[in-house]
Amino acid sequence: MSSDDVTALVDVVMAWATAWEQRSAARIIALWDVSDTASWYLPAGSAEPSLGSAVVGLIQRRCLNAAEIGYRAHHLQCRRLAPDVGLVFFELTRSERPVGQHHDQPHPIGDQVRVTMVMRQSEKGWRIFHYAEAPLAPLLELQAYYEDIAIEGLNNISQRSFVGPVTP
Amino acid sequence: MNTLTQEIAALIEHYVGYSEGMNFEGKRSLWDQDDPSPLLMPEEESHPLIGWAAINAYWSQSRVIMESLKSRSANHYVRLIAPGIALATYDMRWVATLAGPASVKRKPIAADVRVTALLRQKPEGWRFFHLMEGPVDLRAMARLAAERTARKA
Repeated sequence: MSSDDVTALVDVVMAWATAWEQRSAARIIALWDVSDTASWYLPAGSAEPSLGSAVVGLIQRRCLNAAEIGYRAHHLQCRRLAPDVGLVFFELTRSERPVGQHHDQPHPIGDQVRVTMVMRQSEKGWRIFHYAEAPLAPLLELQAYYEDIAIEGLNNISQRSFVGPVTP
Repeated sequence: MNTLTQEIAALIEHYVGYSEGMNFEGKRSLWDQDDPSPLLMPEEESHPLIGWAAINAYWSQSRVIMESLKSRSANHYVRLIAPGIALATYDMRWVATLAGPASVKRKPIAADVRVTALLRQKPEGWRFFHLMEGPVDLRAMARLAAERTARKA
């Protein structure tokens, strides 16, 4: 694959990532092939994929429901499957702070997922028609969380606001 | 169901059927052997397996980690996205018993994953060159677990 081919596909991923971080549904949808009635969009948190025209509505709702979105794509693997069809696989570090999140949960929540993105070239440029996210198996993600706490050891118990700092 | 979907759904059923007995040679035979950089993204791996050395090593290790494995697929959805290139999605349930000492009782564990696969048409038939397994994320699975608990209450 030539560097020009790679650059075109990488540019789409970067524009897609920027549009998510800006929570700009219009910019995200501009990169989606809205003419494809069988397009497929499957975020890691959804039980069911959205197909065709339903994709636009889901993207709009996700942008409206987030006060902050982090979307960092890395380790991109690009392939041209046909002159007008491209495949990009990448790893994604994402985070989100929902609108109206309760005061006792002030921090964004996030995870690492893997993405398969397939796009086609049209007169308007490259447009995505298949997007699927794949997180690490939840059983292992939970195990990794326990392992992270073990690394902290015994000296990092969260301080509660209703008691003052006391050293035993 | 059109002919392409029938043909590829049958291949996928064949492929996931090789899980029983952990017949990874069988699985490998349904991949495009001529592709220099096939990609397999198992749900339990931190990073994708790219190339035959990585994929073969993963399959060899699976025999050590699991005592038994069975899989079945459903909801096959297939599209021809370019001449000789098909995109397939399906759900797959796996049931496994992890390896361990015979004295320790172990229950099987299972989960559903959503698979995105890309296949290339070869003289011998359709063959995989990209396969990604995706469970729902931790938050969604916690919700599913809580819903299951509520149904039992």
